[in-house]
Amino acid sequence: MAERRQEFGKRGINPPPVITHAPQGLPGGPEPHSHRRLRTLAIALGAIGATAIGLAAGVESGERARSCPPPEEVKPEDPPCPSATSSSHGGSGRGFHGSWSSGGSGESGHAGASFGGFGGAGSAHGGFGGGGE
Amino acid sequence: MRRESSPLRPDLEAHFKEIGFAYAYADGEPYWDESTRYVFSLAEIEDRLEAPTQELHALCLKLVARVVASDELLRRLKIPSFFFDAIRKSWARRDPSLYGRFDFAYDGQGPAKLLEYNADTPTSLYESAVVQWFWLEALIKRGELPKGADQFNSLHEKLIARWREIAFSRFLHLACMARSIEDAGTIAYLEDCAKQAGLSTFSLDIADIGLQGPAFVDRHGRRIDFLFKLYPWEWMLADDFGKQPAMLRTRFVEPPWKMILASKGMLALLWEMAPGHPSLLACYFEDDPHCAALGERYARKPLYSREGADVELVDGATKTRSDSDGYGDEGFVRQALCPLLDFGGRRPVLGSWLIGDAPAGLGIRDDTSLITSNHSRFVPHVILP
Repeated sequence: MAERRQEFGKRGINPPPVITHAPQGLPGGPEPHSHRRLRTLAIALGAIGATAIGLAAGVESGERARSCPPPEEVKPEDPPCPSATSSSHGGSGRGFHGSWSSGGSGESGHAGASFGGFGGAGSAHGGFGGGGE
Repeated sequence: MRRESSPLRPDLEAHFKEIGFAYAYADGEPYWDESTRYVFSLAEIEDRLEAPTQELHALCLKLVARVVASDELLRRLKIPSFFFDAIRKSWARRDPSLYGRFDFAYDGQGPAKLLEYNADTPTSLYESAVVQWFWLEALIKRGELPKGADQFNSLHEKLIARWREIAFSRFLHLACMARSIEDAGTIAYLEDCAKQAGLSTFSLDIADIGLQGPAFVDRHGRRIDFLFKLYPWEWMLADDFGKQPAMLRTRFVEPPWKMILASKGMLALLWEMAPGHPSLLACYFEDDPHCAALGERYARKPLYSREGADVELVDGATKTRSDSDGYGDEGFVRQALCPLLDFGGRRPVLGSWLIGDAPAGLGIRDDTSLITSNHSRFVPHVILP
């Protein structure tokens, strides 16, 4: 018979949690975020869900807006920039919170992108509210 | 396995708010129920849950290899033919999987029996990984559980490690239907794990994925190269963007080959591949004459459905139907009936998690209904010596 492990959840490292307990990540991980960033994450995770995430992003947006490149210069590896400052993003008009908003099908967005091409089938199964199971 | 009463922690509401468990009382009904707990021995966990999970995962990978080689089998699972190539390529590349959850019936005696595999968009992750861990720690600290008490739960550390392993420093987008508080919560948790793994991330509503030329983009114009989607493959393919060439450019988590395992048809193909396996229930496509072997005791399940919707249990003249959410157009399978163990009217389904290729934890939902659904309650578990 295989040797019994003594403990499942405590294998050689500290217990999992997590968001509030280990914001710096596990040993060997990357450099920790700045204190301000951690605080923002804590806010977002303190009220998980669309509203809170939008709020957290909003907290950051003011600072980021000052260093945002123009949309045509945004690269995939760049951090997110608040869309409220640019009309070219189209969408909800609620600024960064709009990242959780639902754009209509065929809606124009950033630099001619169209939005709303995903989500329709999910809405057709709206009885349970989401795509998870 | 036994179910027993468990003392409630004080100030639960404040605690849930602190840790971000926003759907503990979804729809006004208690979803999290710590007035009871399930208790296991270590041997039960290792031999009857962890081992079958590992074994079934290996079987599933074998099944995928078989299905991708056959147009007929892909069609049998009602996967659209325009997506065959994407599935094959993702399998050939071995596009990595992050996670999955096997749902088992367990009678406390024999091996756990696979009811279904949530291979594409499993939720109940945060409560499995974090909320019940806090519960365990609190009860040990209060002396309500012995110090040696443990839990089948290494989900959190494995999720972080897995993100680090599969992301290759790519910028990660995470998308879901944000109106669902449970899905948004799952995304938020997974995003936090990804950040702890060192990734740069951005969460968005599925409808905020844009198409710009040959690529998907977010509303900031960033190309979406690496996307975690809590949105089922069959829905993606039914949507307007589902046939776009951009589908071949973005790398998805879960990857396209997981669609094979997300169909309930995989239960029939698994049984065909490994008939009599102790952790499988006999299962056949509804148009298969072998269905007759099940007699009048079977569960009828749509090939694609969520949260137990549109499932029917047939036990002789007694028929139990779950809520309908419009599933079933692609057909059904019939699976041998396997009643859940009854603990004074509560019936548990054991969700056994895989992270990558490793069994990683357990989340239990129970219900008074014979069919576990999104109305079921999450009940914590503990391993006692």
